Amino acid sequence: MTHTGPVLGTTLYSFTNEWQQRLFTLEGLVEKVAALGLGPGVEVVGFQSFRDFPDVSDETARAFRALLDRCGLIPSCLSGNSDVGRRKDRLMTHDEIVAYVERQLISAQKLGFPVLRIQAFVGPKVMEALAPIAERCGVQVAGELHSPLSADHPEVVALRECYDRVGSPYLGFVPDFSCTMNTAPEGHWQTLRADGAPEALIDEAKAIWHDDRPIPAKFGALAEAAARHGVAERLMGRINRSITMFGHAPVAQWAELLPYARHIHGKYYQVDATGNEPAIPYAEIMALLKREGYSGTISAEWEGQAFVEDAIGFEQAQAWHAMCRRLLSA
Amino acid sequence: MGANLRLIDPDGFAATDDGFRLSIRLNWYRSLAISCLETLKVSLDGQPIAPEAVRLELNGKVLSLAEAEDAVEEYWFVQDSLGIRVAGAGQVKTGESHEVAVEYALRFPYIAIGSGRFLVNVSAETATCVAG
Repeated sequence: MTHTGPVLGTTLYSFTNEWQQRLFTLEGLVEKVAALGLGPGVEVVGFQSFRDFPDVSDETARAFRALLDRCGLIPSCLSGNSDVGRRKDRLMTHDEIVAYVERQLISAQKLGFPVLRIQAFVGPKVMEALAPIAERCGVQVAGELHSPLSADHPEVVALRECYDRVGSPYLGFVPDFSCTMNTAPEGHWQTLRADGAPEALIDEAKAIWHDDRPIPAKFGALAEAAARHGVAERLMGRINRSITMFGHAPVAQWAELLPYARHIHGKYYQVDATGNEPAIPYAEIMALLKREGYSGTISAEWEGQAFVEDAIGFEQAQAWHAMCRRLLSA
Repeated sequence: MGANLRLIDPDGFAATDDGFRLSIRLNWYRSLAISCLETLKVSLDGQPIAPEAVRLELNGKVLSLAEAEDAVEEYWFVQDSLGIRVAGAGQVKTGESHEVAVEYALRFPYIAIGSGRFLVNVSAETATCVAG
């Protein structure tokens, strides 16, 4: 059997600006993905693209399958959510989380997706309870390894132990490149600056980003620094994103995670005029995926909409595909 | 929100029999249950509106802010606007121009920032609108 390498694709999340500004329908987005050669894999965030999520109707499912077929695309991953904090007064219970994810697994099955992404923080007990449900649906359930998580994070280690013990191919991870960044993207600091954060606070936030203290301590340090600089409460959400969005684990960690990877998020913020993403070590990561023989799906996941409102998702997705094809053929 | 992405629908402002109506857009990439709306502040010509005078229109339902807090299965879809009805006759008449301000805080119920705490994002916009 010849090695085929990763299967490239695109998540419709990359077109969040186009979607929020109501410039496209779901059908229009998928047709353009096909027309520009941004497949074959198509990933969808359930709560973004389907009005009836988390319980998609038979009609929604039939129309979506027909759309992908007509466009010659394949469903790669349905991104679901564990909205454990949806009640203000308390967290969801274990049983409520399992039931909430089960609805999304059933929707994934109806829509034809082989993988459902959920948040890794649900933990081993929920994952173990989901294994037989995932198996019944024929859909793998995978915890996303997103910044601020990393392979050696205690929550991730506990999940790996659970996966090894349960031994079901229906459990796994969706690693996201946000875990292994060189730096927080410049656009993030520019946005904070534009929102009125003082330069001295931005310098402190950058230092906190680069240092090695544990994540909860980083949130505390950011809050302390913001209070000292007299920054308004409304800015705290964006300041906290410095930690939630951009991780800096070593690329080498990916090798031990790949056996558990059911899909990968090719996160990026900007492929620049030289055809590279300065904030993320794509050359290193792609070389590792090739070396390790990863042949699963990987989505272009443009997240520049965090800083840019322009509807440039498609040109950024084209730039990502060109970059990845170049790196994979190197 | 910036030039491309507006919070307040310019065409959604209108006088009603018992007050006025606005429609606002979701400042997030995915639908959220309306129970994630932590706060909603509306003001008209600089005067804050009492929360008790506000009703939300979502998915064909009408909810008070207290009811919205418990509506964990009522989703605000990204491409749908949220209607805000304000009671108080005579404040707005068709054809009049008013300064409308909206500020809301959304809890992102899947982005934990510590034990039992979630990222909360505040969005605000002020616009001068002509009542339809």
